[in-house]
Amino acid sequence: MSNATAVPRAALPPDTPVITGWSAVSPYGIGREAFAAGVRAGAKTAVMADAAHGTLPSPEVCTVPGFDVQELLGKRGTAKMDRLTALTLVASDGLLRDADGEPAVTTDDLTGVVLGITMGSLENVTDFLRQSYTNERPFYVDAGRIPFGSLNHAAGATAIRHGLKGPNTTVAGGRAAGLLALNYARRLLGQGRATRYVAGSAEEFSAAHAWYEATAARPGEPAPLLGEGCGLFLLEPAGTAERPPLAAVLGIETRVDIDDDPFATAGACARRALERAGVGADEVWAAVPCAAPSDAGRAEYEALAALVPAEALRRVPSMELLGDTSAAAASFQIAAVLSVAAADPDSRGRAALVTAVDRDGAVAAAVLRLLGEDA
Amino acid sequence: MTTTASTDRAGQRRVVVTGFGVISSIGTGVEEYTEGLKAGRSGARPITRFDTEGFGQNTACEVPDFEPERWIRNLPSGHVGRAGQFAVAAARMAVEDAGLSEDDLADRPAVITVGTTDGESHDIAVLLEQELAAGDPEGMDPVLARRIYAGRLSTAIARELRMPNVEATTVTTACAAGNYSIGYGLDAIRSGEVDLALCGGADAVCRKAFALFKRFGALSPDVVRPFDKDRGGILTGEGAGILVLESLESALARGARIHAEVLGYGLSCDAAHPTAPNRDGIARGIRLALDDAGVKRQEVDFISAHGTGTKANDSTETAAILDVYGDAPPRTVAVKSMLGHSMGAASALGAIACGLAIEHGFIPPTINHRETDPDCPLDVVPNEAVTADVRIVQNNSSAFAGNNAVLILGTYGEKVRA
Repeated sequence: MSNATAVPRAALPPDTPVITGWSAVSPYGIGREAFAAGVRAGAKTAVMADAAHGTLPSPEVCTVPGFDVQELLGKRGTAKMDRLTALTLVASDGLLRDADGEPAVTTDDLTGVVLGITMGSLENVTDFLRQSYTNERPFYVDAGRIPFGSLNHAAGATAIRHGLKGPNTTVAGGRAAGLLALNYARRLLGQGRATRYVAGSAEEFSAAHAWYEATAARPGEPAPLLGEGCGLFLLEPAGTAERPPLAAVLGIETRVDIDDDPFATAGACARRALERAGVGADEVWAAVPCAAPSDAGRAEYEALAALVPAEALRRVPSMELLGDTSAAAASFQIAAVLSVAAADPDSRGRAALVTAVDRDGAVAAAVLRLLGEDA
Repeated sequence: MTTTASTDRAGQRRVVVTGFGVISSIGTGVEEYTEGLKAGRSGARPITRFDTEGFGQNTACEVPDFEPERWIRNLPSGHVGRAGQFAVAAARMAVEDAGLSEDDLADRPAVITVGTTDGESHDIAVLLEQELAAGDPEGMDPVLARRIYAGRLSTAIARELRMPNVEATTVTTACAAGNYSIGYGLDAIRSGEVDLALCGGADAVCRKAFALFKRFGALSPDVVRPFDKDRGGILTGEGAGILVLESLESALARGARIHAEVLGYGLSCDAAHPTAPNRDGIARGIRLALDDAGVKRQEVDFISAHGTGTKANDSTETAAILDVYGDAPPRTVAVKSMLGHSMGAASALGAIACGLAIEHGFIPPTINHRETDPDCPLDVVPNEAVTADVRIVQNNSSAFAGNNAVLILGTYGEKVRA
């Protein structure tokens, strides 16, 4: 921590969305501290997969260590809960509750939730269908698991757990989902539909997801190393934020790669995002690509390398260390920038660029102004 | 009657609908769909998508006559499954209806947002069949495995229409997702950041939804009878509805034909129960929508209900409507009586039905209706459409997880602003 003065909030237009809190449940462990420590250390997270997953296309995974759903969330309502919902709820506790489990953030009927995903709990839907195909009758399926199979369940469950009655939305976009969610929250805050937002994204590891990814990989490509987790942010307009801002969201830009040219698309998206934010490429203090284990991921890195100073790309350790965390990725990238910035007073007032490319073609870039941890 | 004061907001950009694209079980294309709504056509028919052996019933509202090659020109073969084909075809149809060429779209900034409940869950089921047949997940088809994530429903539209400069966001807020998407398009245009949005919803009949609602005891044994005392549940359905939303300035500048104005919407979360509908949550969503639209209750000409035909939904939704409107609510119809529950497409198809009702001066019927449930004291426009001067319409939707989205559409032009 440093004694450097944070950029005064008064310097920001009051409707600028600012991040005033965050939490993460990640392969580095449960909670913000574990994530920040892991990122700063540049630690690897791959481990041999738990035997309970059965045969996997690749033996190593980046799962959340010590993630025992019932221990973390209690026994009530969790027996048949999907992992995606559990990861999200534990992250939401980290964001909205204090160490004693008491509410730490003011919430009301206009507190919104938006969660970015890929396809919900693929384990839940696959198990449900497996029962339909293999049980005595095709509808002899476990009714207790049905609610968890709805793609919007994790966001709705977060609202139920914390009594959040504002706009509650789930958006799908794979690796771009975290930035799409943040943009959604930014827009609805701007339109006065919510006073503050819980915004982020989540992905679960499952054998089903691992096999879909391995099958989808092109011939000759190895099965990707997969990660999981959830990153959540508290997003508020600067003018009414109740806590000191950690970063301002200066802009989010999106494109779709319609010509299978991720280098050009990611570059155009990042350049436009910086331009809109009024930030020169040479002013970028930290740039964090999603580091997808694919041609698109490599092209994204090259596009940033051609744009921003070399040291900016070295500032935050590669997201490869967490495995391909898919929908959770973009939120982890932002959390990683905030973690590194918190330990470096030189970051105050500087700009960060976070980008994502997804297999389905979505490309996104966010520009943040880092505002400091104290105040 | 003039409602100018209540629908003009200082400093807020007005947003209009200039294109409709429809794939539905009662008609493909705007004209066929309009005819279907007016005639009270039923989309119920035997399921062909998957083997229904053992279910004890086999009815759903499938689209019978879909020809993807009529609409899809640029996508690589196998790029999308059935839901994606519906979304892309409806988007192509919507931009053609709006009179927008690919040159008009090109590098134009826009939001593309498709709502869905199940996305390509049919493909997930096929992948599982392949795994079970092979006794090994290595038996799965890579083409299918690459297209099962919901984000593709929106990016595929961008790819097909050659629109790179867009935000492609798929909203997976289950059965309210269509209204959510239209609302997001409205906000994006109101904010001034874009002046064009393609939004709506898409879903395809699949084993997952059929088994789920059967297990829940919510699948009707015959037809869908919303608000009827003998209603027996839903039929699953499919299709896509995509709307072209445009800023009023943009529409006027190019002389576009305007179907309707998007007056506002409201989102509320029950924060109460993962599957049960919630009276207070729905009522709050309606009030938020009316407020956002600047519309008074007495100005609403009819409500297009969520109206699934389940016991729980219809009585809860009725109670919420009465909470807001008192003892004399507007006529309240359920197009799901005709379309079944097309999931993420449902409220988008509902919104298009509302727009067509405004444009053509009719109120679509609630078909299969015999006797209104005393717990649902509403004029549901039973069985036959009525001719009416329709100016302002409310389109309801609710989803599992406690998500409600309510949309308000109004007529554009001298009818309202006399």
